[in-house]
Amino acid sequence: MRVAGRVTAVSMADSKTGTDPEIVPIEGTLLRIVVVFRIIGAAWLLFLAVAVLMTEEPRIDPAVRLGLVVSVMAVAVVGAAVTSILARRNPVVLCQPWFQAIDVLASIWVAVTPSLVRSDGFFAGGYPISSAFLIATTRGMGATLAVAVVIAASSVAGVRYASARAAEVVFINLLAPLVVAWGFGTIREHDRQRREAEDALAEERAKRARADERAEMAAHLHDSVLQTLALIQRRVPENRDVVVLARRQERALRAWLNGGSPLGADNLLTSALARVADQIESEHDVLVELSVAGDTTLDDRLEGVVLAAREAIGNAARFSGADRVYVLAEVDAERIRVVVRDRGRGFDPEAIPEGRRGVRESIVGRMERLGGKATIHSQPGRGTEVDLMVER
Amino acid sequence: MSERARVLVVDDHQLFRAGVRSELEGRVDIVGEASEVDAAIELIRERVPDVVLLDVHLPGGGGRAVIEAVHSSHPEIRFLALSVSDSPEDVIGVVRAGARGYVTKTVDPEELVAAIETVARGDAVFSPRLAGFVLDAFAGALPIGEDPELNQLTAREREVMRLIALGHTYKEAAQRLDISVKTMERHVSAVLRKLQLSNRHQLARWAADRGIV
Repeated sequence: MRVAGRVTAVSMADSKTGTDPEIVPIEGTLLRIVVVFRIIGAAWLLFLAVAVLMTEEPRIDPAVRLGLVVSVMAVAVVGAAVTSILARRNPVVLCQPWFQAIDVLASIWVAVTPSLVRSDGFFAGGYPISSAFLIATTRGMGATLAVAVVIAASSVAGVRYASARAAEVVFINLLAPLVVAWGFGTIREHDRQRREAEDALAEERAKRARADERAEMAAHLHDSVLQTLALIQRRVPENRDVVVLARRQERALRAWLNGGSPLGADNLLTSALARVADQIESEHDVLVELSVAGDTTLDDRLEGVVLAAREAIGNAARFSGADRVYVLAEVDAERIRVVVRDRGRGFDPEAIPEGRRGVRESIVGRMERLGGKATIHSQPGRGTEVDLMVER
Repeated sequence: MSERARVLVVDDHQLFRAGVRSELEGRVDIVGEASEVDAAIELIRERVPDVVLLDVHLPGGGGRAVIEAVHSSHPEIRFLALSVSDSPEDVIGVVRAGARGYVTKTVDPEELVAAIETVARGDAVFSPRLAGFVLDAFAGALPIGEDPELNQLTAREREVMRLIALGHTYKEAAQRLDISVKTMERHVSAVLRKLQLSNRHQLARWAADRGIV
């Protein structure tokens, strides 16, 4: 278990960078099986070699026989040890073409050499096939078939004098690695698809997180700008130009934040009144506090109401001397009402000078033509209230 | 005059806190400042101020989260909401959570002190803009079957909201309606209560309609 864990950890880190076949957790476990298989094969070979040396009469020069048997033992032991250590420490090496080439050559040596000893009890057994398994777990079917054929041929050559049957050797050496390669190909493909899906999901999540972050950043930025604009309005009230400018920017930004275009280029009563308020604030030394309850789309009559309101707000800005003008627009099922109020110097509505055409014509006259009504409440020193109303 | 109100300022903009502090110096006792939700909750529970000046927009959940966390354990602490962003659903949201009033950050220092004192007394403070939002929120006909007691403003309450939206002070509005300032304050408190308790789905829909996202 510990080996498998390490294999996974190491390979995940390395596999990102190299061009080697990736090792995924399942393949880590597999490599471990290959290594265990190889160790058993090597142990079996050692046991057999010792038995042959101790019990069999040499059929070739005993010194040569000893040399050959020991070389096979050495290759098997070193091969098993190196593979086992690499599987723990650096499994990526096991996937390298050069390592696999050396490994296959060593297995061929192990497979072929026993025949040179001409013993009928000495053959390579399971060790060489572990090379084919290594290829099967890390390469495709093609490479596995090629290596399996070579290993099978070597093994058949190796059992020339031994009691094992050639057909069995060929069958096992060819079939087992191919089955393993096919199985792992399927698993790997499955795994790749799963990881692709996971990657796509992670990518999507990351994208959404980035979008959220941007939105939050934007909101924070806007809030900061609004704070600054508010601060300007608090700190430099004596400089009306600056206040009006700050106020105007605040209104534009807020309109945009609330989902409309800057100052609502759309066709709603709210937007039209906001545009009027903005225009009058920028032309005059005044702040317009606009409240709208309900909303509706503009038609010709309502545009007339907006123009009358604009005249009333403009008058308040020009003549009242107040620094604020309050506007309340109410829309309900029966009527539309816009009230404009200031707390300025006021006037006597009975005594509107002829020259003040604005009030008579643009407000009272216009509202009457629209079939509505304009009521003006004002007293000198008590402010002015202009009440505009049309039935729907 | 009674003793000065103990005020805690919760706002994530340091500059704004400093500005408020310098303006309110000597008029109220500033007992603490916080710049985000969790710290604010902790500090409010520790210092137990009379009034919390609360920014509607705060990192970590907004002013609403602060009120919701503190309100149940310390119902005596009053909240006065402040904001610049003024998106109606945020403002109404904070009031529904339990704020006793709302003023914009452009309010002048005199008005702010008056608003703090009003809230400290337990009365409601409606800026013209909040009154406008309330009229907007309660605009339109009620679907049949809803509780008109809570889900609709009376004609008088509507009139009070209109006058406030048009910039009348409580006193001016009371004169205009020929009622006492006390009665006027009662109407405003009733509107506040309706705003907080109303389950009117129009109110919820209204907020959703105006959602920024």
